[in-house]
Amino acid sequence: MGWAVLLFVANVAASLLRGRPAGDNPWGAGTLEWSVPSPPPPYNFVRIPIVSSREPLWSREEGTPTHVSGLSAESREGLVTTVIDAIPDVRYGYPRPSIWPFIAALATSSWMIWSIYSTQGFVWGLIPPAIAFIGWFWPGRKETEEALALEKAP
Amino acid sequence: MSLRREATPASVPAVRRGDALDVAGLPSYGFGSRSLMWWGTAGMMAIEGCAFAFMIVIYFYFRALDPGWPRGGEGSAPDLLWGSLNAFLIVLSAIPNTYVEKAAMDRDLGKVRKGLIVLSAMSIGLLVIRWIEFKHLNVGYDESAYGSTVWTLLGLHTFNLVTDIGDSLVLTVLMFKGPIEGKRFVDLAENAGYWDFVVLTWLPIYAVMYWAPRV
Repeated sequence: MGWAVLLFVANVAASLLRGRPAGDNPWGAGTLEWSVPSPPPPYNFVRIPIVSSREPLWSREEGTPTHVSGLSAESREGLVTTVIDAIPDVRYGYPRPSIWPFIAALATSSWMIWSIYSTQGFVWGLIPPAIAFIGWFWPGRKETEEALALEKAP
Repeated sequence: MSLRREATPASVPAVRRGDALDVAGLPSYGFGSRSLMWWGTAGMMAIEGCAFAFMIVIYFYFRALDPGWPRGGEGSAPDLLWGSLNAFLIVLSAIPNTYVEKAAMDRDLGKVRKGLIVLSAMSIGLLVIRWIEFKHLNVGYDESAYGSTVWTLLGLHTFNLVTDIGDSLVLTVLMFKGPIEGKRFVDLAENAGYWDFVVLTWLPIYAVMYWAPRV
């Protein structure tokens, strides 16, 4: 195994020094991840692609749409489809980034540690996570207004 | 009528525009399996349901190994009164719960508020009874295998009970104080679904804890 690692390191060094840049899809692969530039941008896809087969880069059904449009550019909207047929069903508004998940993680960890050393801690230690989870859930006025502006009832 | 039809998945089709599939006309929330949180809640019920089932299996496994179960004979079984009162009240709470669920799906804020007040009052009553139940288990949690099993079984259900009561109370405050958007009615419907789970799981646990030592 040592030899295998050594061979790998030698390969990396040789490629770095005098290899040709490989490009975005060097093997002409057919799956979706090869359609993005290399290295991939943090958002992955500018527009949500529509696929109709397992290798969408190789075969594309004629006359089918290529991408999804109509999701909000200002707010974090995702697309929910039906379970089996993957038909677009709901525009789902994701919450904005917030500090609460981090506080919830700290509070939950503290509870677990406290509960190891004390029976009282097992009960009372649940209060900080409860506060953190409620804070995480509680909707802000501005956030709700934004959601209401995009809202369409089912 | 039209409300129910539009509540079925993919009832509003996406519109084709050139190479794009325009989803701007799709609803921004949906009830039942159209909601992501519905799947999360269903997964949570699967996990918690398995935990309850395991505890019941553990209860009978220990009982088979221990001829003096519960220790001290029938007299040391938990007092029947409080557990039965809890079972009665929790089944009764399914009525305002179903009322809230229906009102939430109709997005009727007035009815939702009425139902939530009744449900909150009942759930606080349930918490008080649960507290007394722990006092009338007639065994310490560290006394014997029986004591540990019974405390864990009741503790697990109490954890779910307290979680859902907390959720219901938070939603009650939110429904009076705001801000409210359509998605919050989905939260209410899902909370009601979880309450059904807490009600339904209490029945087998009640039967095992309170009746198994007596038969």
